[in-house]
Amino acid sequence: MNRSRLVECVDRIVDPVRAGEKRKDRMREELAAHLSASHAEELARLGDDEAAVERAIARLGDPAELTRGLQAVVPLLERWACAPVPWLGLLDALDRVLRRRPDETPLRHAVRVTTGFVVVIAAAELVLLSAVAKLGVRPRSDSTISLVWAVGSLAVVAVGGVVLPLFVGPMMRAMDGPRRSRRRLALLSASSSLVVIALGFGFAAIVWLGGPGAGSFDRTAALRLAVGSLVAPAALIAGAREAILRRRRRDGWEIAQPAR
Amino acid sequence: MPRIERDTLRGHLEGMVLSALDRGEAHGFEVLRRLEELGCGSLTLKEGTLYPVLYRLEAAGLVKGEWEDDTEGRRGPRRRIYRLTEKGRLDLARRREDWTHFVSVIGRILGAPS
Repeated sequence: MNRSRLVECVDRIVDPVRAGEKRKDRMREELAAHLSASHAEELARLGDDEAAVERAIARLGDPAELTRGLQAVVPLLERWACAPVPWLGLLDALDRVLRRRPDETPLRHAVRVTTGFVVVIAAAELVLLSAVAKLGVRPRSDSTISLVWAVGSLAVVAVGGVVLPLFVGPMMRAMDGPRRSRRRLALLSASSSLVVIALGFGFAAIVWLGGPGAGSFDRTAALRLAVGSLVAPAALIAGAREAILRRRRRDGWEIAQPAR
Repeated sequence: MPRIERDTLRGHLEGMVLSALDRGEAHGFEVLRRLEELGCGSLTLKEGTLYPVLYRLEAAGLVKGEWEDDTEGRRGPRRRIYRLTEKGRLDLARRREDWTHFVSVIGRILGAPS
């Protein structure tokens, strides 16, 4: 309750500032640390939690004025680069849909997002195929091969989409907190690479089952798979880092805990 | 004792923050505490106004801020610890000189008997 009041106060001040997220995160965390300390001080003085929160917020000053003060220290170029753009609202909406909900398990989240992606890809493939059929364009390969490739790619997206995000949680624990371990992070990265390689072989198996004319697993495909297996852990680590920053900002602050 | 409000402080806050940091590195909350202590309770400052000042000083290279190590067991958000740079020390010395000169000149005028 108090934590959320204090975090809300920080957000009200920093959110409207036109600056990069890194700079804004720094402002948020620093103001949160300050509020946390003044809250602890007021709590010791007043003995009432609600009153301490109110007093800590009042001590900080007028939020609009603080926003203006913080905005003034942002370099002009950065301010210009972070100016609101018309389609940003759309990206924010997409981010809200894709983000894990507070009561959602990692598995459920991965299944929800992947199902969405698979449905969108399948719909796009159907639209494309029907458009090709209507236009009377003669495909380079026969329809069975196209179907095998479409099913194979969908299966890879579905399995990868569910399995790979499950690495993010353990990676976050390996990167941050009391149980952080570089060795475990390396192990998880290697495992995610193996998952990508396994998906590649799975795709090759589907194609192989589709018949001799469906294509083969040549050297170019192996190269693509190797690159993909290296990109996956990097992307997952970047995702975990972003999630850590977000968690620090929102949940990890334990803002109502007295700062020692 | 009459309170000194923010408008009166305008223009002096940066020098005051540098002076507070001259006593040793500190996070924002500690800087405010030092200012209050040095001001003997006469300063009325909205606490949030300190941070834009610290950011300006950091951008000018007069102070250097670093996140405290969050593995030391303290709970809650990390604090940013500021310390004076060599450039900041020189700037503070210049500000002190300017202030002494200002006070001596204005003091002579205001204190002159009619």
